[in-house]
This record gives sequence, structure tokens and C-alpha cells, in this order.
Amino acid sequence: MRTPKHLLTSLNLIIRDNEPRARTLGRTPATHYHRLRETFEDKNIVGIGISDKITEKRGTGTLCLTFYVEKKLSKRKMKVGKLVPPVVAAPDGTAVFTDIKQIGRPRLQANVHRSPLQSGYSVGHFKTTAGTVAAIVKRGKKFFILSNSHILALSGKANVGDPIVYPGPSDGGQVPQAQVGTLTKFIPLQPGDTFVNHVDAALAEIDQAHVNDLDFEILGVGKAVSVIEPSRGMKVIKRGRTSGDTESTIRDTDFHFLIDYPGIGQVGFAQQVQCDSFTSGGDSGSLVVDKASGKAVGLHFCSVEGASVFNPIGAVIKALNFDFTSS
Amino acid sequence: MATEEQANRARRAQADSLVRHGAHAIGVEEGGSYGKPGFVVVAWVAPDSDHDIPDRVTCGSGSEAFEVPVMTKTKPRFTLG
Repeated sequence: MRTPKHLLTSLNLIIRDNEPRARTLGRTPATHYHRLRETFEDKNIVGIGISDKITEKRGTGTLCLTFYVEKKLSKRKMKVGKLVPPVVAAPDGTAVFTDIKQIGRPRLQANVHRSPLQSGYSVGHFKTTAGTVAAIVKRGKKFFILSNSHILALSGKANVGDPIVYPGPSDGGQVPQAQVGTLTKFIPLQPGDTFVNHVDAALAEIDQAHVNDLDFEILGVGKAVSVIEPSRGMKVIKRGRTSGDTESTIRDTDFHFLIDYPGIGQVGFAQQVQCDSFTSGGDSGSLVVDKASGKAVGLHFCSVEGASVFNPIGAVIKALNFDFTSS
Repeated sequence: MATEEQANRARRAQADSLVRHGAHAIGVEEGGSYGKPGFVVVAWVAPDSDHDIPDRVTCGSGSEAFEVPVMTKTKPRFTLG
């Protein structure tokens, strides 16, 4: 069904940058649309579009201007001036019905931003795509980004001192504008078909210019970060660059498997934690947290249809020698 | 019937061998969903792969020896991300 022109014109008068002018639209319609534009000062309104008008939970077959709200409120709780009128007039005089639909607050699918540095957001070596910051951690008095080796260190093929960008290159992070640190340490991967690897992990020291731009919040964790051993049946959560906040259940705590690393070859891992799928490409590096205790339990790094796998956090800490921090 | 601890021991002991038989991952799961009591070793094999996964593995020796059933699960190989 083609969208009628009078609906598109009405929508455009509400969303376009320039205020409708009385000189071109007429005084009354201009005032009318001015009021509709003001409804966007209400933070509960999160969008506007054109869709089928719903009455008593059923489509009417009539297209209308649709105001999307985070939460539907009763008319009694709203100020008169904030109410969306049930019908508005298009500039050609045609009546345009309106509708209110509750959709919650929209979120970006990719957790991407430039400031502050924090767990759950896009990061990467300047020559890779993008992964996720697990956490801001400390060694001595210095701050570091914790993530996977395949995100920060090209799986061990990068050089210590290489630039790390935030967000990762796939999300627009480029050197020098987005450089926030340098690769400091990574655990080499041993290729082959034996199960001799235990972590895919690396640290990048945060540049002095960015140490005052750190947010230590981690999804599901209180102020102080402590760690816990994984156990079968444990409910876990993570915040990842691509799939955001998701949860899962641990199925296996001593998983053994082989995986191909670009430029490295086949690598075998032992003592890994396998859980139901709760990640997507780009979530590598996400910190996995025990939902019940709020303690860190792992570092996510790979997946397959139906399953995600993470390194136990105890092995990661032992390999890289860092402390979690909240300040 | 194998306990979880026995299945884990069998996995550690036989993981390299199961890879030679065509597995790309080796798990341990409760046997219920496979119609088996206790715990089982699960060999993950890639679709269309040639494999000859045994139906059980033996661990330990003499009177300490025990057998653990091996189930096969067809799944693609893991990928980074």
C-alpha cells in the first residue's frame, strides 16, 4: 500500500528541522503543527511514523500518524498541552488520525560510543574489526582494557605498542582520533590439534589522556568486582558490543574444542565454559557475570549456532596478572 | 552409568583420540536427553564430515576401569566472535 501524500506531508511538518511558517501554511495549521512538534519535548515520546491504526487491539486498515512512546500513560496523568490530539488536519484539509503505540525505549543494536571508556562497548586493535571491552582493570597504578587477544592483539600477530581504538575500526574508530591506548600484553596461542590453550586474552594500557574518562560500571556487578568459579546450571549475563545485554545458562565447565584462527590455524582449547547461545559476532571480549552473585565468571570469545564459549575468569587473571577495580 | 566426574575424567583422557576419530569439540552432558542414565561424553562433529566416533570410551585400568557412553552431536565448528 502506498503511503498517501497528505500523511507524508503531515509527518514531514512534524519532524523536519524548520518550523512550519504561517506565511506558507496558514496561521491555524502552523500553530497546530507547532504544538505537535512540542510534544517531542515529552521524553516519553521516542518516535513517530506512519502505520495502521489499531483500535481495540485490531488493525483498522487506515493509515495514521503514529506516536511511539516508551510507556503508555493514562490521560489523567498527562498535562492537557502534552496530549496528542486524536485527529489532525493535513495542509490540504484532509483529516489525519493519530495513534499511540508503546515500544519501550529504543537502544542502539551496537554498543558503540567514544566516551567514556567502559565495559560492554566496542573496541579493537587498529587493524581488526571490533570486539567488546570486558572491563577496565589495573596493574599497579596503571589502567588497562581487558579483552580477547583476537580483538586487541590480532590473535598474537600484533606488536606490543600497537594502537587500540575505541570504538573498534568497524564502528568508525580510526587512528589517531579514536586511539585510547596501546597493546601491552597478550597470551600467545599454540596452534595444533591438541587441547593446550586456556585463554584468548590481552591487555591494552589506557593512554594518560583518557584515564579521567573511565566508567567502571559492569553489567550485573556491584561496586567491588570479585570472581567466582563457573558451575553447571549457573545463570550468567553479559553486555556485548553487538547483542547488548543478554543472559544464558552454563552447560559445561570443562569443554574441549578446536577452532580456526585466521592467520594462525587450528587452535585447541581445554577447560572452557560452554553455555547456551547468548552472543553474536562482535561480542568477543564481553565479561560474563554470574547473575545471582554479581561476580565475574568469564571472558567470552567464540560461538556456534546454539552455544557460546568463554574462558574462566580465574585463568584469565592468572595469565595476565591484573586486578579488577572500581575506581 | 557414569557420574559427572567419571565423564569428565574420560573426556580429559580421550579428547585427543576423539579428535582423531573426527570430533571438533568434546562435551559432557547429562544423558537424559540422549536416553542414557547418568552423564555421557558428547563428540561434536561437523555436518558432512567423515567420522568414526566410538559409542563408548574406557577410562582407568583393572578394577578401577569404567566405561562412559559417547554420543554424537552434529554442529558446525566454532567461530570467533
